[in-house]
Amino acid sequence: MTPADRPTPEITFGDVVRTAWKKLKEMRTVFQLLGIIAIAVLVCTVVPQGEDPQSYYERYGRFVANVIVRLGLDHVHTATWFQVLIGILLLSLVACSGRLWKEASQRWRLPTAAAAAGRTRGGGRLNCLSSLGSPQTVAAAAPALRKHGYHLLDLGAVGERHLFYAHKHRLSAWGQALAHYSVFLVALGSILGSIHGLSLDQNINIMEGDTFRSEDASIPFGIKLDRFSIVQDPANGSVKNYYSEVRIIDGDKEVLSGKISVNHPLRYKGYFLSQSDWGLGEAQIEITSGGKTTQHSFPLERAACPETSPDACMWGVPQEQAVLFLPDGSSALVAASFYADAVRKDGKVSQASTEYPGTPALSLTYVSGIPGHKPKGAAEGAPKHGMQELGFLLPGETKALADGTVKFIGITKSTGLGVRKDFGLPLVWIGFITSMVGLTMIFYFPLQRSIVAFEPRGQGRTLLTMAPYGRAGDLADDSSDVWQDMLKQVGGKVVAGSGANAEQEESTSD
Amino acid sequence: MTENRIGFWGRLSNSLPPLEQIDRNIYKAVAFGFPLLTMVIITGAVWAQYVWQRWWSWDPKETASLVTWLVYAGYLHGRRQRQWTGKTSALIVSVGFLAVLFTFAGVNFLQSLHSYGMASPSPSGRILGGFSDVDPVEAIVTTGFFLCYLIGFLVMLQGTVGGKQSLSKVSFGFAVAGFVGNAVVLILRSVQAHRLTFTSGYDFSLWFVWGVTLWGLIAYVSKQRFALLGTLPIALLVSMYGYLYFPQKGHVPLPPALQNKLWLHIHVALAIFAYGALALAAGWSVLYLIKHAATGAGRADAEGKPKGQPVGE
Repeated sequence: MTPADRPTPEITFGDVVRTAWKKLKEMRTVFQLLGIIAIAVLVCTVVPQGEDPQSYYERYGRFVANVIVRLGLDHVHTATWFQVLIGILLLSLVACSGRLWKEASQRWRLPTAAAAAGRTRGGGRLNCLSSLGSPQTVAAAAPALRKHGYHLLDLGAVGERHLFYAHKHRLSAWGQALAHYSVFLVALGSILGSIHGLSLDQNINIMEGDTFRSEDASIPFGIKLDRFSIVQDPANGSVKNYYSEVRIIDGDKEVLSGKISVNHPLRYKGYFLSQSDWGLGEAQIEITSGGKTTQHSFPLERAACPETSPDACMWGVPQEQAVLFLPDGSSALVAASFYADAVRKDGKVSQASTEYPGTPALSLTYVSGIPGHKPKGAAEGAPKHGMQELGFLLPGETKALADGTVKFIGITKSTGLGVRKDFGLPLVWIGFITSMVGLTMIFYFPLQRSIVAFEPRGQGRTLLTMAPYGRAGDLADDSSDVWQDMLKQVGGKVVAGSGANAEQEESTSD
Repeated sequence: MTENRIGFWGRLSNSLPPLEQIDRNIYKAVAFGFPLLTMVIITGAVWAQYVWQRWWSWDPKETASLVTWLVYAGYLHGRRQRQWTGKTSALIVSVGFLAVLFTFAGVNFLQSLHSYGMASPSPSGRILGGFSDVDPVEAIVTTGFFLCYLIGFLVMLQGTVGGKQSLSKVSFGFAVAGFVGNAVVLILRSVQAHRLTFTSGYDFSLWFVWGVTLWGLIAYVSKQRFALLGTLPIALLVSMYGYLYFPQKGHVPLPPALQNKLWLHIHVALAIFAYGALALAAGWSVLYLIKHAATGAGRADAEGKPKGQPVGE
């Protein structure tokens, strides 16, 4: 039968899986994956993440922006391709590390006398001819080994040779397996932590006095903000901390109250509430007109934060919400200017140096006779148009209007809270601990294993042989120091090896 | 002119330990620094979880640390599994330290959670720093320790090239004096700030320099005499960066997120030791590459001559 006549072997699904598994087991694959992931995370360090597509067009131009948006480089960490890469890396790590358990158990196992004899047959790495008898040589050498932290296991005699297994840091046999699986645990925990529904990562804003309830019930309880405050260092004006006094409302019941600040989160039902942001809510005013007092407010927002000095952020009333029509229907108050923290000096109000709320100041303009707005109950005819600058009001101050007064009550503040629940967190912590234990074992307390053999030679002499058992790392390989100490105790003469004669002697003695 | 240059590199190369020995020194330093670097990342994650309830945010500093970790992990795996030694591994370790430097300095140019403690550099200040806002004693001692490191390096270089071993002791003396001066500056700053000054960019550069020199000195007394030849230039480089990049060297008030002292201190202290050990590895790597190039070991590699001892499991 010619090769052409031979039937083409059928490729089964099992073959494909086996080939893929084999490929995943290769260290080269792990490195390739890690390389791609490293490039991806570097890209997202340079390209701002999670921004509006328009901003990429403005910054990079149409072509580059298209590439960024199409490839998901604007949200790398949540992009499907990135998650798939991490998933393949996990599989690869499992495949690669499978053999590590087997190797670890082999290293953990104590050697048999026969295996140990094989290691020292024909001489070890270090050989010395002692003038002492075999029992005396053992008695002299053992303390030197113990001094270096070695445990000695008497393997008994094979032929004339008396064998010992000297080992230290035996637990470290598991170090490599632990370190590799820790990476797997951390990556798995990270994936679980990013699954929507299992975990939650949300930022919410609540105004003083308001209660937050999530619309999609992703946060299964309400959070009421009683008060938000910022404590500053009087010496330099820097912020010491931000405090949110909150109450947790589960169902209709208030179940918990507490103070949240940076570094001091509040925990409820596995959810962590942490201080992440703050803001100003409203500037509140009180208008008295015709014997009636009503309360109104202007919303506040950050107006400008120069990149060079974020502490100099300005707060203001959004232009489209700066006009408040008064009850008479033809006049209005216009919020012309707002300072979160102001100082009045010689009658002039100016802004303090920071954005933090201190003594707020609201500048109002009173506009009357607005065209198209007829005063209620007024006679026919065009109302008289007028504009009066009321100037800045500090909290509690009142200014007169045409038929009443306006009083600046003050401002409300809002807090920004991070609400997080990470389902994968326990796995991540276990992974971290495991990796620290594993790496400490590998690099700081490496497993050291040697076979030490004592072989009687003629004229009451003993050949002392030391050979590594398995491969040892060279970081803490102290066999040379141990050997020097043993030589001092035994007082022997170093020989290059047991040589051909010894080999012969051995074969006869075996 | 050319002959002089060849002579200089040749003499330098001849005085250095054998390539195999340098290769082992590189490995020892990385093997000590890598677990520390892992702990730096882990304690950073624990701290972030504590402060923001998010243990990983793909912040530029976190990302750069992860990439650095991957480079060193690659080196260790390559060495253990594939017996990568010699020029390749020295190059990888050098690249790894460039990643360390990027983690330390490069991310300052990107928006990062870790820029909290940085005094904002002004464009004019970047060109020339200055000591206008620090105590005069501190300014004098800082200048002093920098000069000690510089003289220590030059003396070591002269001793190595000139084959005068006794000069290495003089160099060691200058390095110790610089190290003590460096420590005095750190103590002075901590006393003035009433806390361990770990958190501002300038402070960390001073600690970084201290950590690098500490490892150089430890290596020197552990019979790695030429380690100072590698670590002192790195200490000088980081010192100069700290001086030039941070025009404001006064104390910066700590933002609330940095007031979590326990985890923050553990995190930064580990970073100082890890970076120091990796700087030692990088110093040896550069010396390896110099010797490799100067002795024509590259040709030996190409001819299939042994590059170094295969290493354990």
